[in-house]
Amino acid sequence: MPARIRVAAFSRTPLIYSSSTAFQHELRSSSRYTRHFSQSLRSSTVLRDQFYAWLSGPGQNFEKPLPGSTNYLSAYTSDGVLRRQKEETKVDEKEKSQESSAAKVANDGASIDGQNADDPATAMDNPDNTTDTPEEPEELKEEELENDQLKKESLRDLRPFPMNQQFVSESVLSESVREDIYNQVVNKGTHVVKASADANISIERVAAVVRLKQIEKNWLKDGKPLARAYSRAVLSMLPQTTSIAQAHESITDIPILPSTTRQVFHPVPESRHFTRADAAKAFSDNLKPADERMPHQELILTRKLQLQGERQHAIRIKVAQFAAQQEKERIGKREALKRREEKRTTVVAGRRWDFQIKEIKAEDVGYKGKNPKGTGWRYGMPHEDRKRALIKIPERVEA
Amino acid sequence: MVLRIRLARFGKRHAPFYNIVLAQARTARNSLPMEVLGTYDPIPKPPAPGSPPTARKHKDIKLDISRAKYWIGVGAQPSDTCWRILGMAGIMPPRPKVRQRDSLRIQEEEAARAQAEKLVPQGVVGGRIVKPAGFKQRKEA
Repeated sequence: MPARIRVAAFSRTPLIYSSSTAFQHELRSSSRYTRHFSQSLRSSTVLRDQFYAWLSGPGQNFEKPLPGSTNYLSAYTSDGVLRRQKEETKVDEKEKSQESSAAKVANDGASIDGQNADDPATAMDNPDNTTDTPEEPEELKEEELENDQLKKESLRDLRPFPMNQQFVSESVLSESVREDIYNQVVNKGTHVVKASADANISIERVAAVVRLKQIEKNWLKDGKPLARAYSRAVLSMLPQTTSIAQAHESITDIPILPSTTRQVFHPVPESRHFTRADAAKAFSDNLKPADERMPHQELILTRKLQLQGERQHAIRIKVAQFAAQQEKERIGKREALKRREEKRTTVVAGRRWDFQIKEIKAEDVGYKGKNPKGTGWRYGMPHEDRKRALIKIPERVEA
Repeated sequence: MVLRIRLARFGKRHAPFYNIVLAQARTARNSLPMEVLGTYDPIPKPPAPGSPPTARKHKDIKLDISRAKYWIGVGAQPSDTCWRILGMAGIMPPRPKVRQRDSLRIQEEEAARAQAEKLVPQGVVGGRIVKPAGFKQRKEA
């Protein structure tokens, strides 16, 4: 059987052959003699050629990635030059030219401003760039270049998908930072909230790090193998927060609740002080004010005391007292809940297991029998555990 | 019709879960009951993490005790399993165990037999007159 020849599917310009001989001629002249392996027409392999050209040219960067860098596609120009490096050399050249023309030092900053303005992305992403560079002494800069140390990636370099400008790769916690957090919380006994505030990492993340580290340590103790190579490979491809002193994320964000997403037209007399508490009331009667919804109450108190002009020592004492009080309340609430539950439960010892009998109210199910507070499997309602787009992974852990 | 307190099986294959329901005795097992009195999860749950090593597994039962008491009071009959559960909750006297039941049955049977022997005159067994030993039929004159 002769090789099948696909023509129309791949040719960009529609080829019209008057006879079969012309077609054979075309084949012989273009593809058969130039590329022995391929039966496709020349025009259809342009993209493939470009791809191979890219692989052997700019694509080489990705075959042997830079150590200590994320190496996303958007960090390189189309001809394979690292954008950060290019900018540095540009700045250097400009400075040299300025030195030769004996320009004033004051012009230095302006020219760099102008250079940044050429590239609007850099100007937006790196607001620090404009302010930092003029202040730096030139000697230092030369030293940096000699050390061949690369600049840190800007936002532009952290976009792994060039077509999706909205997606920016966020930094993850490095191995050492996670170890530090575990040490702080478990070995030194720092409270999770305080550890979170100190390291600028959200409370949930600190708690998760501690839990996962504990599992890792248990596995090590049990002699279970860890996927170290995998972890190393993934971490090498992501931007990392390498020190606790570095600010990892904003910890003062307030979760956006559905009741706050609507527009409210709430007339208020001009003479009245409209506080955050009033704003919360305007949204919903059950909504706590923003100050109380923020996870780090003690930071608010610290700032308030600072504004009142309190001394640092007094602030520290007051904040510690406040934190202790809050912790006491939290534990008290939890204990009360536990006591209430225990009061409702009777335990009957069986031969192999106990029976926990918890008292409920049959009326809770409501008149129509569909109130979610009610006990028991619902009637006339399909179980939705196989429905699409519903969260099936456990959302909470009993601990 | 008789009211029964019984279990209605819900849950999945290999993962049973029961509603403790009050229903008319002759309605289908999973049909809409008159009232759901509680639930019974027959799969033993391990003790919560962090509990002492002596902690035992437990089975969860949820029950509206006052409603169950009321329905028992007006004559609802629990199924055997529900009797066991209600017994544990202190609503009914506990259901006797199999061995106890057997001994009870034997006692009852013996008592019944003794009673029957007392009532039935000597020589009558199963309604037939048994001739005592040495009985001779009188010759008719």
